[in-house]
Amino acid sequence: MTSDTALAPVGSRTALQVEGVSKHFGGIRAVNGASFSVKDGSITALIGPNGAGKTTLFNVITGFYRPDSGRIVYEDDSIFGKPSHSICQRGMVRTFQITKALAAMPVMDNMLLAGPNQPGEKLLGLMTRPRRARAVERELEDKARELLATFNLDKKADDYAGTLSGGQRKLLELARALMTEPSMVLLDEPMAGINPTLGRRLLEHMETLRSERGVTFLFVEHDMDVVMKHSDEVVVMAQGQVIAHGRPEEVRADQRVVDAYLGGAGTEVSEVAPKPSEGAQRKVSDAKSVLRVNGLVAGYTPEVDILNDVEIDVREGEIVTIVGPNGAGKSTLMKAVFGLVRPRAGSIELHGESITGERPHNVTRKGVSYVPQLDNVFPSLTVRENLELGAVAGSSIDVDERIARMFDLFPRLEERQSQQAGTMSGGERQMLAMARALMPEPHVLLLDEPSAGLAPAFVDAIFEKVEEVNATGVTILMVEQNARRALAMSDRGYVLDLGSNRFEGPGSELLADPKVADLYLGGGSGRVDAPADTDTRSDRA
Amino acid sequence: MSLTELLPIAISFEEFTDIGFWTSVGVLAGTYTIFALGLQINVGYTGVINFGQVGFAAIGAYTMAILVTDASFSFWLALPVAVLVTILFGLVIGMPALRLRADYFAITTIAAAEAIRFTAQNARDLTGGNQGLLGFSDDWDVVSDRIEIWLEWLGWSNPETLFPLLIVVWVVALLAAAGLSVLQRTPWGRVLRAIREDEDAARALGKNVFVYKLQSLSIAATLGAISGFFIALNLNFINPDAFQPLVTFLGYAVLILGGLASYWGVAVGAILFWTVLEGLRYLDLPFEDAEIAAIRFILVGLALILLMAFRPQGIFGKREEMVLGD
Amino acid sequence: MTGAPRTGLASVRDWADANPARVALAIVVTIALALVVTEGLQNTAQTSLNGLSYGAIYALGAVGLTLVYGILKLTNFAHGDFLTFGAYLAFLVNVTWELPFALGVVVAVVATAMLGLFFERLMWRPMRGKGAGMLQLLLMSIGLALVLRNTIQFIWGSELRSMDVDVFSTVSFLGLQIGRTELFVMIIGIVVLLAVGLLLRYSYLGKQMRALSDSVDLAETSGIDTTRVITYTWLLAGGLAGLAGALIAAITNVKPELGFELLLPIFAVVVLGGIGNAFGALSAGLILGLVIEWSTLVIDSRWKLAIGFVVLILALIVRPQGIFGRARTV
Repeated sequence: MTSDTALAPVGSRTALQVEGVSKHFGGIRAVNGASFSVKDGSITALIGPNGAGKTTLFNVITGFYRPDSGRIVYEDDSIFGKPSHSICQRGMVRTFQITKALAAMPVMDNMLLAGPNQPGEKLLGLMTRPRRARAVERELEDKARELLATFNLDKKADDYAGTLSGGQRKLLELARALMTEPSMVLLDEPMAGINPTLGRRLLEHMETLRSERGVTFLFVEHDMDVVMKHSDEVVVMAQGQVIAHGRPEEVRADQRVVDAYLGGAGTEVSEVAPKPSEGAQRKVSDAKSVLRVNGLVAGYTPEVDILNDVEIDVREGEIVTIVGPNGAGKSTLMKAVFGLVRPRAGSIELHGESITGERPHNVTRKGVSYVPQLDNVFPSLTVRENLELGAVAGSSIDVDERIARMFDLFPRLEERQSQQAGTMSGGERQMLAMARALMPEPHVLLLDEPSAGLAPAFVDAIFEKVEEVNATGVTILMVEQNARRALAMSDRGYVLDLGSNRFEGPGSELLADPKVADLYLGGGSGRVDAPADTDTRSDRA
Repeated sequence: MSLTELLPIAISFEEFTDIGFWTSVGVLAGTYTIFALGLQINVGYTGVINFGQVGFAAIGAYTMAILVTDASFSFWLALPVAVLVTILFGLVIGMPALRLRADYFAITTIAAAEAIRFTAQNARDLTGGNQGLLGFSDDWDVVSDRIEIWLEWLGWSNPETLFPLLIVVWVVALLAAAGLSVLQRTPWGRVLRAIREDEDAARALGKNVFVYKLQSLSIAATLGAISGFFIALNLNFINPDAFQPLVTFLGYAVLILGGLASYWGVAVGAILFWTVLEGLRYLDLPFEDAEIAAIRFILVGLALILLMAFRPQGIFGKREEMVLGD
Repeated sequence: MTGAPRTGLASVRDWADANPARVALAIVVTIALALVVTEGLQNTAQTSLNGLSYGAIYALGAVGLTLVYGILKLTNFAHGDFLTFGAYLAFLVNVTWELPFALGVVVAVVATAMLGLFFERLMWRPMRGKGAGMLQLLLMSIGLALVLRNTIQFIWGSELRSMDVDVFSTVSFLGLQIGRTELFVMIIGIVVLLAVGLLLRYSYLGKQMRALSDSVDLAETSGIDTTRVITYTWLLAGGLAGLAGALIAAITNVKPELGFELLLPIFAVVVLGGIGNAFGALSAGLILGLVIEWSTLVIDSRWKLAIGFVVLILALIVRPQGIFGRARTV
């Protein structure tokens, strides 16, 4: 399963060894027997599609989650089940996906906090060795200033960390992590949300630290260019397991990795040809537009726009899929259409009528249903009760009859109708979520990554259901990780990247277009080096 | 027309010139300053939502009183022993409870404090039940008399009885505030602030968050116990009614008024709060005493509500540093 | 150290963790049997009757509190004073206006329901809109509790009062005695409890409430008008609190501290039943009521309220998700 590495960069000692680690939450197995090792002094990347379990694994390794089983050995000592602060004290430090720069404290305090072995941090130390405490504090301050200078943050030392931009906070988090004098640094999506110039600087620092001080790096990343160009080794996860491990070029060429990202993993990969019910190629429909999105701008935090001027058109009876790499804004687009995120600019029209900024339950009443990716069923209610709640109250539909039809469509749900939804597996929940969304007989169904985290057999089942549902006349707008399968069954597709439209066209064309694959796996017009992204103002994130 | 006729609400101004009034306010303010300093280090600086502070006061006061009256301890020895016992209680409750989420921890601490008061009410043999305990303050009375002599020597011919207590409680309060301010500026204090803002970040940097929270709780226990001593000396006797949850709630009102940011702010908040609250006793309204008492607490409740709604950072707090709640 | 398969004691604990309701039932039955053996069937049955009355009252108080917490994430310290409010309104109708107690109960229910809704509109909804944090809301609820209790005290004074109900006649059956009023209270309490249980289980509104308790966002996504459901939740919470207050005042007395004294046992029920779980609150209320009354057979009755504390603290420390709750992060 793993490819051997005779070409290890610096020695072949193992810094971190992970064996058969599992972690589940309720019925969901986030990490399912993952095994890999990280060489001492290497820069290793941990990649994988959404829902593969990367951040969960990170949290397990660094002691934030308790693993269910397996072995984790760091520098010859077991750290399985040890608390996170103890793991840091042993020399393994981590950063977070959403930065935890302590905004209410000054930058310098953030840095000083991280210094290891401070007698001043212990009450006893303060009382018995005050002079030593002060001396250590001074040393730390000097060291902190040095580190801050290398990250261009020294002028901000006395400002509150909250006044820093997003990118600066990321750098602060890294600088702070380095204050702990680690021998291994785990970075969770270090490039996310910072501009390429800053990103390059971060990577340079990593490489310098690696070569000068032998610090080992393990980082989760979605930016494939970064991964391919700057890592010594790559570990690939999918569905909670490690599916490949080796040098970047090897991994990139590994068919399993390509499948994991683009989909088709599961049934016969070759048979990814579209299989519409009629047997003929799906044509681009010339029916009228049902849902139209124009110039949409949206985001979650005030400074950052996730969606930048997005245009989508969905026509009656179509299946339209939106694909794109992580961070493209696909989920955000769905939420904005449905009213869970307020758009900052642009419009959303349903049957020609504006629904921009409408509250979700009103959008539902107008005939649009939404199936979220996560938390999409009511866990303490039974299957039947979940379905009953889908039927919009007050409207004159025969709930029992409608439920009976759902059971026809999803026979598995009928078997489990009195079971509490929270005890069902991921795939069953997905089916229930879809059935619940179909209860009010919507015109348009929005699906947010219906196959995410599902076992291959369920992936087939889900996509079959989507086609069946579409055949009854429901227009489908879908966001999917499994680009191949989804595009194969779609009339049209849109490829989103960094919040904007990149490509669009009939499903089958996009499927065959090599540029789409490049976008996912790096190479070709990479984003880190693309001139359009370079920003000369080095402080802006 | 006199001033009292001009005002829409008549306040009996003579009381405000009475030294007895101000001494009484001062003692209450000083006691609550010490009490709320414990809340400040917990809530304002460590993010530990301690709603059982009055329980610490009760344990401190009762332990001291029982040691003096039952076990014939010297008053001056009973004080530190009582503090240690209170810290012990704090650890016993804190160790299992600090694992819980903040609101569960809050409920646990209220329950613990009420359990303590309930025990004081019912363990009559030990605590005197509802009758309470007295006779523990002889040694203090000696000191108090000495201070009165000094005051007379300074020129005050008939010093207010509670004045010595006023002096002592404020000396202690200011020392405590100074001590905590100094402590806050140390690396240890820095870790506490980090914990308040984001525990996981602190853990990820190698800090044993649990131990720090226990230390913070122990300091609050110490301050709670000391405030309990002053409650006892103020009344010259203690009974369960002096340790109702209302005391904790009033402590929070003082804390919020001063703001969650500074220890000195607690003192200002306490003085302001008690001046107004005691001053309201002298509202010359056509109500009976009991009714005026009710009005005073209605106003406290309203003040809490309005502060939370419109100025949660209090007088001295800064909005950016307000990490109140989640 | 690897994750070895769990054997022996550990696997028994795992089974207990996965079947909490059965464990709780087993414990209760065991205690009951032990008491029958040591104190006699008569005594056990008699205290069980009292236990059911009080238990129903705790349950009624707890359902509202747990739903409000589950849906709005608000730890409402003013809830106890809703009970007090209900008690005093019943007193007003029954004693001051000299009308039948039953009418007093009805008025208490309606008025307290409206009170709950009033504060939702006036305070809680705007604060949610501002993104208020947990501590802010908690302190506001404490302020509200102070205002409510002291307003009641201002109007009615702090003396103990009694309802104008029959305190003398008793009813006998099966060798057990129960006061007429106690019987009435117990019957009403249990009937309403069952009605609430049925409402939550079978009615559309009940399902919506349970859905919101799971996830307000998903409910909104599913097309449920969450504002309306929240309104009904407050009406229910207030109404049940008013009922509980009126009922308990009938069998004890009317005083301004009535509600606050009950608040801790009610919290114990909420935690024991699983916070946010209304069915859990119903069952846990009865269980706690029984356990508290049974304790009077064994220990001095003035200590019986301590059972409430012990249960609460134990529950929070041993099993914070309660008997019926899921092991979410607590």
